Amino acid sequence: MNRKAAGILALSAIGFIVAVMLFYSYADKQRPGGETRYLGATEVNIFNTYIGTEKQLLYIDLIAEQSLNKALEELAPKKEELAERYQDELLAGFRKNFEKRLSDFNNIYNSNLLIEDYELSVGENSVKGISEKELNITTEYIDYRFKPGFRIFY
Amino acid sequence: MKTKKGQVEDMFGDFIIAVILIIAAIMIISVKADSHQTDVSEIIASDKSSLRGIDLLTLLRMPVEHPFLDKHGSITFAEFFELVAKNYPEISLEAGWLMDGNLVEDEIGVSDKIVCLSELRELFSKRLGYSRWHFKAYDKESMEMIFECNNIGLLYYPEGEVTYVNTTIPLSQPGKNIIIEMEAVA
Repeated sequence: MNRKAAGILALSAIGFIVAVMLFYSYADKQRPGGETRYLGATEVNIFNTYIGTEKQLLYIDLIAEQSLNKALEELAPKKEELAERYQDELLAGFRKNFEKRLSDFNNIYNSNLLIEDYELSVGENSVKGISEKELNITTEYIDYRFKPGFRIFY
Repeated sequence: MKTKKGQVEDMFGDFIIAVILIIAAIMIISVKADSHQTDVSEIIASDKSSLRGIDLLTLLRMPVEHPFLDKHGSITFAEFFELVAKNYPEISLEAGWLMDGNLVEDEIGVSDKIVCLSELRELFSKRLGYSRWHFKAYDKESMEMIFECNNIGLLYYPEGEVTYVNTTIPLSQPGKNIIIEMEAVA
């Protein structure tokens, strides 16, 4: 091998090694969304937001169930005729008990949900609450809005 | 084609250099690639574990399938925790029936808490499908632990593998809430 060829070969070899080292040094930082992000981070964040809303909906369902049980307890002597004659009393009892518990929900989840936001009705062996108001959880990636409605059977 | 002695030595030298360079490149690539993969998967694993929060919420909505509880009307795990809280620090007349079904018992003389028995552990394990789990219930106001239940061995796992998730559920008395915390190893 002549001297010129040896020089080119040596330079090429050094260049190759430097290129490989540089590529892998910077490859770590080349993640979707920049240096602080990694593959799947945004999706995980969105799912966590969804889980946050599910926690709130579980709480609403449980207080609705407790309010219905309490209202039924207060109407106990009339329970057999409940479906036909005492729906108004049941609804009034439910409303009173649900309102008390809604303030706990608002304190815990820093929300402002009022009994007036609900359209309450008694259906077939159930109490239904439809909320016109939307609750939301806002993060860097998503503004997740949901209506905290419920239907509880007795 | 004939080669001279000097040319053979040159080719042998080139071959040695090429082999050394190839080995060096492979070592660099494998070391850096491994470290990159480890970093990313560890971060994802720790963040992904928070997604198990949905398992806790699903469990709380599910019925506790047990003949004893079915006799009292089917109850969900959330309602079960509510009954547990009613029996703390003293056994409640209203909710004391929970002690009769071989699921929990009063830990007399040890603490005010009620403790879970093997039948209840099986019910949790059946629903969760985790190899190790640990439930704790705290009074939200005082943060006093009122109940715990686990299958053994959680403490021997490295910290990174354990998931911690929690949620707040209301008690029937307005203004009272408990925090349910779940630690689990998949």
